[in-house]
Amino acid sequence: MHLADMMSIAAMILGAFFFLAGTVGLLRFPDVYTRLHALTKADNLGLGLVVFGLACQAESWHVVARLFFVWGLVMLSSTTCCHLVARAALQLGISPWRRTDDQ
Amino acid sequence: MTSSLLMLDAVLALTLVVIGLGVLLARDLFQSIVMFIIFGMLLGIAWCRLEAVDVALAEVAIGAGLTGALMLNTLSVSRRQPAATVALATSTPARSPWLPLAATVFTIVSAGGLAVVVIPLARLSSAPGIPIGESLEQSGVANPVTAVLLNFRAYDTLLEVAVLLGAVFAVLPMSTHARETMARPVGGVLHAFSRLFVPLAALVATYLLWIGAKSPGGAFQAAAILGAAGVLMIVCGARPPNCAFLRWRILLVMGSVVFLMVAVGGIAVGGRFLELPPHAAGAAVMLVEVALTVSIALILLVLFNGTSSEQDENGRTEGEHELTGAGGSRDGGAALRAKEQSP
Repeated sequence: MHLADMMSIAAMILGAFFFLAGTVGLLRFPDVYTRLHALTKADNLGLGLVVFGLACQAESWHVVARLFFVWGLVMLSSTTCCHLVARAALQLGISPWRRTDDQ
Repeated sequence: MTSSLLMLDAVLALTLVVIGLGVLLARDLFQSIVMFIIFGMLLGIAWCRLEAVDVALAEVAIGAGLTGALMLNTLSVSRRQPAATVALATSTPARSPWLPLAATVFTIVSAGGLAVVVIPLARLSSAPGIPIGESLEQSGVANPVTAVLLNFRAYDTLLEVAVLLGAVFAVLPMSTHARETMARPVGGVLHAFSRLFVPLAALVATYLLWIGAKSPGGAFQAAAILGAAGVLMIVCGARPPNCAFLRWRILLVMGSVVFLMVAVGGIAVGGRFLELPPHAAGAAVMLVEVALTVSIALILLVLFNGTSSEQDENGRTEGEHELTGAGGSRDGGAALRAKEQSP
């Protein structure tokens, strides 16, 4: 097995793990702000790793450039969406979750 | 390898059905729309698995993206004017309990009919030596999908664009005043994003338009991306295109007009309507695609803007004006009925 294949497999598995972690966070975290945090942070890193894994298999530099371009665009848009959702939630008066003292 | 791909397909197909049910059964309209957008995205992946990348691009950009934006827009308008929605809901006839059953039976029968027709076709298209392969070089483009859409079956595309234009004509009278700005400022982050995204979208749209001649891409996909950039600009406070001006109207109909001119040009050089001579077909297809891209992008933008509510300087929306008018006439109707009953 080539080094590129091994790097691809490792990066993709790690990437999938981050997606899984982000999804678990989305389902388990207590309020909209923490859920956004889980979703955007984990997915950005997860997608980055998946893109890296795919880039190791790419046939030319054009494809590598396009893959990382996609990653950059998704990061840009997910960050903006995250900000917009959080902003809308704040404007609606949803206060961030705090750990209560008795817990 | 094959079995794992088969499993992926099975999971994808199952998820599509479940999400489809979710769209129909969601209690909340907002939830339903979000489900619909997810459905479109997954459908895009399904089209990719069927190696129909052109359709996948169009599905994701128009089916999920712009249609989703249209629906969210409509929902936010109807929430700001709840009375208007109620009036609309009560004016529709009472729903018969048989209606869902009839719709289900109809859907199953038509899906079955489609399956009967399409499944033999799939077997046919996987057979070697399908007709398009031989005549592709006469079409002027190397992408078989573009060849079919804009040359061999250009008639369908011409009518499709005409239908889009018809939809705009239906929407335009309802949005006579161009909305100046959004009701709420959207903040600096979205502005910064739009400054980065809009030029990039123009670049990607041009690329899709150009690459459409030899690989997946083309006018509809490019137009959807341009339209999305326009929607973003409107959301950020840019003035939407005011179709009272001739220049916007020209751009709206440009695609259809250029298409028709090329079609008639086929007759002029001694062919038939919509018949492109092979030596000029490449240029003709490109010309039509450029014109179509501009027009379709503008059409999508006008459709999006037409579903927004408009505000006058008092901050009251158009719908509220209509509502007070409707309320007045309703009272008048009640008075009339009372008068009829009194003698």
